[in-house]
Amino acid sequence: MSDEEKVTPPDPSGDQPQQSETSGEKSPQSAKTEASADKPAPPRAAPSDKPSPPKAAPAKKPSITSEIAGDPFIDKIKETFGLAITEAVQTLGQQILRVNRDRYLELCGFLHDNETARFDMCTDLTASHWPERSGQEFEVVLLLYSTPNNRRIRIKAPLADGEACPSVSGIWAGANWMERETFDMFGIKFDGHPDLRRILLPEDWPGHPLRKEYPIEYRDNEWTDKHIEYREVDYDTSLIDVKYGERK
Amino acid sequence: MNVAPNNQIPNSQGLVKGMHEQEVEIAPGTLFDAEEMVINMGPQHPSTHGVLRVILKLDGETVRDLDCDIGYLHRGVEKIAEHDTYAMITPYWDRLDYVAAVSNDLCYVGGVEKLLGVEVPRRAEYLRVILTELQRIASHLLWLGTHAIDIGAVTVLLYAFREREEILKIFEDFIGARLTAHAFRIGGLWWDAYPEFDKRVRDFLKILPGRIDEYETLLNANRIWLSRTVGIGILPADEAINLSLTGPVLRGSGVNYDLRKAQPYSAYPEFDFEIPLGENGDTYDRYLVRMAEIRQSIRIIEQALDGLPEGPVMAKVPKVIKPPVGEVYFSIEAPKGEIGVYLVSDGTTKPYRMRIRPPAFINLQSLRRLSIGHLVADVVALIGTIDIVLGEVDR
Repeated sequence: MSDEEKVTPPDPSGDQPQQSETSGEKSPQSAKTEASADKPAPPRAAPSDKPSPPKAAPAKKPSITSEIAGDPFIDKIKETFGLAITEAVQTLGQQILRVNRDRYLELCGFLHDNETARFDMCTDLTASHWPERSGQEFEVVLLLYSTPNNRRIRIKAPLADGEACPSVSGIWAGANWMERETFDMFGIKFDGHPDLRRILLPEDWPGHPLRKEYPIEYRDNEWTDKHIEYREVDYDTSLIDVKYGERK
Repeated sequence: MNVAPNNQIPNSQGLVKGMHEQEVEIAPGTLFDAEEMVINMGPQHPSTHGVLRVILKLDGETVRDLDCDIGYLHRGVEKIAEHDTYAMITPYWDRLDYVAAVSNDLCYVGGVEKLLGVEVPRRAEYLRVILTELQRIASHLLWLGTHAIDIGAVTVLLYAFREREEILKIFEDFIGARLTAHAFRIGGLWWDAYPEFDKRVRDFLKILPGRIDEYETLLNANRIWLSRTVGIGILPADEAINLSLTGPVLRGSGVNYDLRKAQPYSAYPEFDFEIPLGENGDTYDRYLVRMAEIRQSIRIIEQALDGLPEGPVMAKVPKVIKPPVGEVYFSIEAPKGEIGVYLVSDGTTKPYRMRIRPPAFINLQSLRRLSIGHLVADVVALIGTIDIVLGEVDR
């Protein structure tokens, strides 16, 4: 009878703590369950066993992010840049450094020129928008690759809304269009960029689409009024103001 | 440090406006004596492979400066992804580089699997390798045909499409689609291979090497082909790296960077193949690299067919995909270069941010560096040699 309940709880929770309980009780109770297979019994025993699964459930979600430890190169960067490196973590074996905006360009120059580092290729440059983080709404994400060492590193520089980020296109020429795209999509300005203008959207397009407050649905704006002369679109206006937080 | 010279590109609108506003002065010698002329190429131009607009500043026939105007096909895939569940996003990836849809899928699906910690069955990994390598051959054949017709060799297009058609037929029977083939799902494949799949791929691989010899007979010793490609758009290795180039464009300059070897994914460590490299970094070397890559792909597919394991093709994946809070970057070697996905998960069923690392977009950036100093006609050859697909450039 109690064996039946023991079988149901392990599904959502971890199996380790459950098994130790069952293994101890199994041998004396197995004879009882076979003899009296009656249904009203389970609800009575259920409350006593219930508290254990909810406890196990939150503990089951392991974080995939952890601090970097024992990497001499990362230690050297931490030593050189001190408090400017606010975070050095790894996710799924991928190393991420978070650096203050003031020393972001200096760190990039160091990673490019340093003899042991030699991150000679800028694989990608992008950003992400976090409206809830006041003072650090944007995050410029830079993915670097070192062809001699076959190694990757990810640099993140937090920015406030409206704050400009130093341009790395002087270090890696390939970052030129990536920074233009980031400017186009997020409105982040890059100081020292040789040619900062929109790249995918029209030059007079209002707004920056990858910001979280920008709606996904079609809307008329100054640009469409100016450039699209004849338009008869019948669309569902009920969906038009779905915010990011309400999407679940 | 070797940086591409002079990053300053004049405003594209300013250039065109300037052309209309300017009064044409008749110089003493000829009409355009010592004048720089701005002309517009595209967006509806057959050699731009889609809707690429190139604004050229010319001195006679020599290119002095160049600017690319892109974005005509912008659909906002990264924005759409923030409002779709993980499984719903995959078909959008087919439509990025629409001549190599299978490769794109592998990138996205692999990224989500890495974030979830799913282990894909070995049979699925092998089938994925077979399909992506077939796709690489198809993409390179399409590139060869269009590149050749752009610079005057019409015949090759007809032959290359004949072979590509065979691959598309294999795809159609496997996946149900020819172009936007959506074969991969998070956790494996939706369908197992059909009974004649092995035989049909082997039959195709049997005829292909002879056909590649045919193309090379048509082109390698062709004087027109050589004079249009040899020495055009030379790119040294350090500049190619600095410009973030990947794929055959980078390997044509002699840089040994192929993700299948450098950072292996899927079942690639189990196969024996080589990475072809160029020496001079010109258009002709990039052609040779791609032709050699087709031969290496044949080797990989043969090995994969020989060792194709039995078993399931789909891992156990929860119906509602909710990756843990965190982020991942995953990239593969697509026919055009390194295609990557940067996923940020906030623990919900939809990604908080999805960034596509587009190889053609980043490679197209080098067009300006390659073209300056060459003739207008060479710009056509150089657009071809970079191998762009505007669906992916504009996203």
